[in-house]
Amino acid sequence: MSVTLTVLATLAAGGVGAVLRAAVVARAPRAGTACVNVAGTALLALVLVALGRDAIGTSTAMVLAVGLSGSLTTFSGWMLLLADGLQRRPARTLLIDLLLPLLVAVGLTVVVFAVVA
Amino acid sequence: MGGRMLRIALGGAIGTGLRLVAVGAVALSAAPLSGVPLSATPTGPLRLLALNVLGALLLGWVSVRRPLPEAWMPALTVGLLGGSTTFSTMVVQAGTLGHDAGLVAQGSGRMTGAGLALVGAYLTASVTLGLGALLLGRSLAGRRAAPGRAVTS
Repeated sequence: MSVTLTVLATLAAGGVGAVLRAAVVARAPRAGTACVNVAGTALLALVLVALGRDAIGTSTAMVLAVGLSGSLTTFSGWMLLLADGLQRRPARTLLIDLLLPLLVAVGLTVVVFAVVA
Repeated sequence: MGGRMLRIALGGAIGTGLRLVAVGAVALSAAPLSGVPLSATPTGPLRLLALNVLGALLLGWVSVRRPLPEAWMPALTVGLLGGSTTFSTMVVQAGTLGHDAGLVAQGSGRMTGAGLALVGAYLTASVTLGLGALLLGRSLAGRRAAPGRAVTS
């Protein structure tokens, strides 16, 4: 795929990822944010594995990793959730909204890479 | 509803473009798979950290000041800022930092104590600076620190 096409596809995937995230988070802000962030991280790890094994090309990896996964997951939205939560329910926010999704995402990444590498 | 999603999609596409320009394809530089140490792209994790923190700062600010018409706010907050910042790449970059510490220290990518510390440090820095930035953004926009109305987007 040409560079231009890859970039356009990446931007489009970015649009899709944002819409998916918006829909999920609108239904359930806390669980939704955790879900998109964890799922997006798992997706990224799998894409990188596939790339490393030459199962997919760089263009496809770019669209899925930078485009879809990058936009499906969010750091800023997560921060907003945490900021509000830490004020109202600090312990719950710290454990369930901050640490849990982070540890699960890290754990999944480690597992995916370990199984493959 | 459809219009809202289209606007968010537009914001997401722009945000992704900004992220692409700011940090490049750093998402693809996963050393555990390429065997290439991160020194090939040493500034990757730092640029991403800066982008994420900046996104949090801006989100804090715009969520209070609301500079766009309400119909376009989700495009800005959920779409552009939500899409330009990323959680997945942050996690993978943290892992890559740890992996590279192992490569440098012992020639293999297996996690060392120092590598683990790097992973923890990068994630801790991201969350701490990100939270601080968001609160700073709110404060700069004039929001009082007391808990109150839930400004969600």
